[in-house]
Amino acid sequence: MASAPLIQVKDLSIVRDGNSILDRVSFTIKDGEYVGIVGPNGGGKTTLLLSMLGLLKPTRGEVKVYGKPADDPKSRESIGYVPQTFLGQKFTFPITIEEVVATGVVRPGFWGTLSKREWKRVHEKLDLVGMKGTEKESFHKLSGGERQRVIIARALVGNPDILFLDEPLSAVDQPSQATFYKLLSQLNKKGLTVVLVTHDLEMVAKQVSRVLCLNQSIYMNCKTSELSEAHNWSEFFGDAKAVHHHSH
Amino acid sequence: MSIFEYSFMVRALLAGSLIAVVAPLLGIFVVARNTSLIADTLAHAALAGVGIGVILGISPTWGAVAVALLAALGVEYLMKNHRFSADAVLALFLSGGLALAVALVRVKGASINFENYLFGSLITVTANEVWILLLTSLAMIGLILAYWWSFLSLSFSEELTSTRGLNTKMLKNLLAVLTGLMVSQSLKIVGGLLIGAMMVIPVLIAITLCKSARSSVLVSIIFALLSVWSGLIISYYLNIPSGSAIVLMNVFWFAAALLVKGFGTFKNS
Repeated sequence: MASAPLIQVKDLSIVRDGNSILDRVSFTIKDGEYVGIVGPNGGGKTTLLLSMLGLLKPTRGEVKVYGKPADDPKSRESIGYVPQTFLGQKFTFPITIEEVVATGVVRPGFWGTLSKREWKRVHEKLDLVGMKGTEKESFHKLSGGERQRVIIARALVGNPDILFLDEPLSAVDQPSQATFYKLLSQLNKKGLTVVLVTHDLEMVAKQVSRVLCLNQSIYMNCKTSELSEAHNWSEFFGDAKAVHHHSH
Repeated sequence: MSIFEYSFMVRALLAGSLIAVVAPLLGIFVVARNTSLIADTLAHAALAGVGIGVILGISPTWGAVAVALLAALGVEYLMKNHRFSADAVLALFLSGGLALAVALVRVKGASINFENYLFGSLITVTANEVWILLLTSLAMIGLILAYWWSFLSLSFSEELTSTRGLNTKMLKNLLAVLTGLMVSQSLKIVGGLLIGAMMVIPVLIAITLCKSARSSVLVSIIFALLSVWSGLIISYYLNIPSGSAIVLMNVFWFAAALLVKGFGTFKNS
């Protein structure tokens, strides 16, 4: 793999309508890491994610993917994305599970003429997320957890190097969450870089190997094992409940 | 004498069949994106184009095409750049288009039968118009098929589509322009007040009966063709406007699909 960091965020500042959303944020993410980005609501997590996806231009500073600007089309091909609230909930049109995954193929051919190789990849990714045998089933009949697994398969069909997930389990029940995290861990072990964005520090600390705590600027960037209750989490989150969860 | 011995009937069947293929192909994405009213909106704008064509002394059809395309881009622009809701923008163009159309036609006097453009008329379709419709339909079908997966992705989730590096603004503008072109070309057969139904009702039938997006395409086209053929024949024998008959047949097939689906669900319960 290349020696350059997969993601390099350098002195990133974003100002919107006169308000500072991100202030001089710098960090790197290397190939194969499993990173959690944690912070309070409104702390700039989603803004940071959109910058890394190349969908938001920095006011100052830069975001690079394999040394290229994040909005470079080549950079986008390295990235898979699973959004916070999956918009497909509004989508009521008939669509099968394999068709959902096929919409992730970047340069498809004419209608119904995805190449055999591309369909094979679609089915391989469904197999990878534990949805084998459901290809022809309706996407609308799936539970929240199953839908998110299909959306992961969609994100993986372009063979990305890094997978971003933005609060992926906000509408998923507890047992499905455990299966979901097991899947992310397996994908990471197979070499995929995973970046999980969430407001839940307790949960993320159990999953990832490194945590970036963000509230406009980087509050902490450390290994999960270095996290301590001695830190002033109350000040960081501005929410006593989050601290309580962490201290379990 | 068989109705197919009349050349105007053959022209109407050919033109209607082309519309029956293109309208649901686009309608799928229009319905999936929850913008079903866009066809009606652009059709009303196209009616204003008919009026402008009459005023300028050019072909009303070309006037309709030009104004429908401008309206399509205008709708997308206002939805993207202002904090207006989609239905409010569509209502603006819908009422504005019809108001302008009626005013322009009244100013010029009764040099055309405006009702033909509102409800469709079999006998006014010329051979030249069928040829133009054939060429534009082939171009539209080619473009829709080329971008089919991208349009499906856009309809499924704009956010996910943009993160794959696809140009969502271009895709939305292309869909709007294709819809404007299809609608303006269909005025004489189906009529400006009824063309929206040709894009939406066959798709509703497909939603009722299908599980996959690809089978929805085929099913919606089959029912659109059935509606056009049966509607034109009914229009001829009962002497009612073709657009009205075609839309009523669409509604009939939709009701039949609901019944079939309901019967299937009842049987399996």
